[in-house]
Amino acid sequence: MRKLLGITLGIMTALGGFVDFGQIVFTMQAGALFGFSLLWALALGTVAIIVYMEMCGRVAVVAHEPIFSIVRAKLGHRLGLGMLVASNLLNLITCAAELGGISIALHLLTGWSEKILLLATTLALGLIIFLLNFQWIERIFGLSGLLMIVFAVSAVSLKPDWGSIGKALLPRVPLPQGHSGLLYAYFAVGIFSALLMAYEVHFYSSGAIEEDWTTRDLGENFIVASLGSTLGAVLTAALLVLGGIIFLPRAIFPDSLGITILAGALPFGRKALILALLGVTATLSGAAIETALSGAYNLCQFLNLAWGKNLPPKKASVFTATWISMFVIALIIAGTGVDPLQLVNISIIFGMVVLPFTYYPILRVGADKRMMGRHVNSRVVTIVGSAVLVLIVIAAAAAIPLMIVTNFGQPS
Amino acid sequence: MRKHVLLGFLASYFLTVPLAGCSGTSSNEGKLRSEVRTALSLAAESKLFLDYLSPEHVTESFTTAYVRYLQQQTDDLMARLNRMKGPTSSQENLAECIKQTEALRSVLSSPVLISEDHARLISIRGRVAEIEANLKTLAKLQ
Repeated sequence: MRKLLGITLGIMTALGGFVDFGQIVFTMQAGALFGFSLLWALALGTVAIIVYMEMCGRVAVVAHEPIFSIVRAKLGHRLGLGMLVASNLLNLITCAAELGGISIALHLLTGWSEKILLLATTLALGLIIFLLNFQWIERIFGLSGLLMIVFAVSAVSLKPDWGSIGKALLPRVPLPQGHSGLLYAYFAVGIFSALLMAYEVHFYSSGAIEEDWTTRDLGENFIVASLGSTLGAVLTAALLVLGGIIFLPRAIFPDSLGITILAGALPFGRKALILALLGVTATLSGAAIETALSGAYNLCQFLNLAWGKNLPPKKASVFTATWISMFVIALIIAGTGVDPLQLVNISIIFGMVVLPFTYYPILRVGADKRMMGRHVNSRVVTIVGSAVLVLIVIAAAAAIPLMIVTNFGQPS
Repeated sequence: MRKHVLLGFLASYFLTVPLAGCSGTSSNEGKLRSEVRTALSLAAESKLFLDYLSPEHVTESFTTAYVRYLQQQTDDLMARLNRMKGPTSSQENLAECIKQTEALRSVLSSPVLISEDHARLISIRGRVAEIEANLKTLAKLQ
C-alpha cells in the first residue's frame, strides 16, 4: 500500500512538473498556426522523453553515475567541458525565462509591479531551496503544478474533434510548401525539443541518487517515467488543442503568457482564470528551481565535487554557491526586461543542439553490460533508444537553420 | 581522431548555418505582410478579450494588466510601422495598416475597458471588429 502510494505520488509529481514555459508557448503557438496537425511531434517527443528519463534513472541507480560524470567519461574532458558550459548557459537562460514568466503571471494575478514580483519570487524560491530537502521541493512544486489540469478540462469542454486528433498523431503528408512548410518544421522541432528539455532529466536522475534509490526502485522508475510523462504529454497536448480551437479560427498568434492563460480559462469563469494563473505560477516556479539546481548538479558532477540538496550547505559549498549564483544571474538577465518568450525560444532551439551530446553517453552506458549487469538496456530499449538518437541528431542539425529562416517561428 | 572529426563537424556546422539566414532575409513587402498579420492578430486578440470581459470572467487586476499589455504591443507595432520605409508598390497598404493600428491603439486607450459600462464596451467591441475586418481585407491584398 505504501509502495503504491509512493508510485502514485511520483506519477502525480512527474505530471505536475512536466509542463514548463517552453511547452506552454510552443504548443499553443503550434496549435494556433497548424491546428492539431503537429500532435505527432508531441507523440514522438513523449516516446523520446520516456526512453531518456527511464534510462537516466536506471543508470543513476545501477551504475551510481550521475549524468555529467558519464558525459565527461564518454566525451573526454575538453568536449565534456564544452557541453557543461553549453548546458549551464541554457539552464541559465531557461531559469531567467521562467522567473520572467512567473513575474508576468503574478502581475496578472495581483496587479503588482513586475520588477518587484521578479525580485520577491527569486528570493522566495531561493529560500525554499535553502530550507527544504529535495523530496519536499519536488513534491510541493510537482503537486501544485497539477493545477494546470484546468487547461485540459478547458480543452475537453470545447468539444474537440477527436477523429482529427487521432489522425494528427501521424505526420501530415505532403508538408506545407514555402515559408509555411519551414514554419511547420520549426514548430515540429520546437515541440519535440520542448518535451526533451535536458534539465528535467538531469534533475530527475540526480534526484534518484539524492533519494537513495536502489535496484528495487527500478520498477517505480519505469512507471513514473512512462506514466508520468505520458500524462504530462496529454496535458501538453491539451495546450495545443486549445491553440487549435481558440486561436486558429481567429487568426491570433499567441505570443504572450496572458493570452495563453486566458485560453485555459475561456470556457469557464473567474475561478478557472485564477486556477490557471496559479497553475502556471507553480509550474514555472518548479522549472526555475529545477534549472538552478540542475546547473549546480551538472557542475559538481563534472568536477567530481560533493553535491546534493540533502547535504548540509557547508559540505557541498560549491553546489550551494552554484545554484545561488544561477538564481542571481538569471534574476539580472530577467531584470533587464528581455522578453521571456524570446529566451524560451533560444533555450529550446539551442537545447536541441546540445542534447545529442548528453543523450548519446547515457545510451552507451545503458547498453554497457559490464556497468549495468542484468539491468542493461533490453533489445526494445536499444532499438527505440537508437531511433530516438537518430531523431535527436536530425532535429539538432535542423534546429538553428530553421530558427534563422523562420525568424524564431514568426508567421509571415 | 573521432573527436577531431566531431569537432570539425561542429565548427563547420556553426560557421555555415548562419548562411541559412540569407534565404530568410525579408523584403519590405515581406516585412509589411508580417506586420499586417501582427496587427490582425492583435485586433483579433483584443476582440476575444472584449468578448470575455466581465466581472464573472476576469479579475480587475488581470483586466488592467492585460489591457496595458495590449496597449504596449500596439505601441511597439506602431513604432515598427513608422520606421518602415515601404516600397512604392506597398505604400498605400502601409498607410492603411498604420491607420488601422492607430485606430486600435485609440480604442485600447479608452478608460471604458477597465470600467463596467457594458453598453460602451459593446460599442468598443464593434469598433474593434470593424478594425479587424479592415485588416483582414488588407491581409488578402498582400
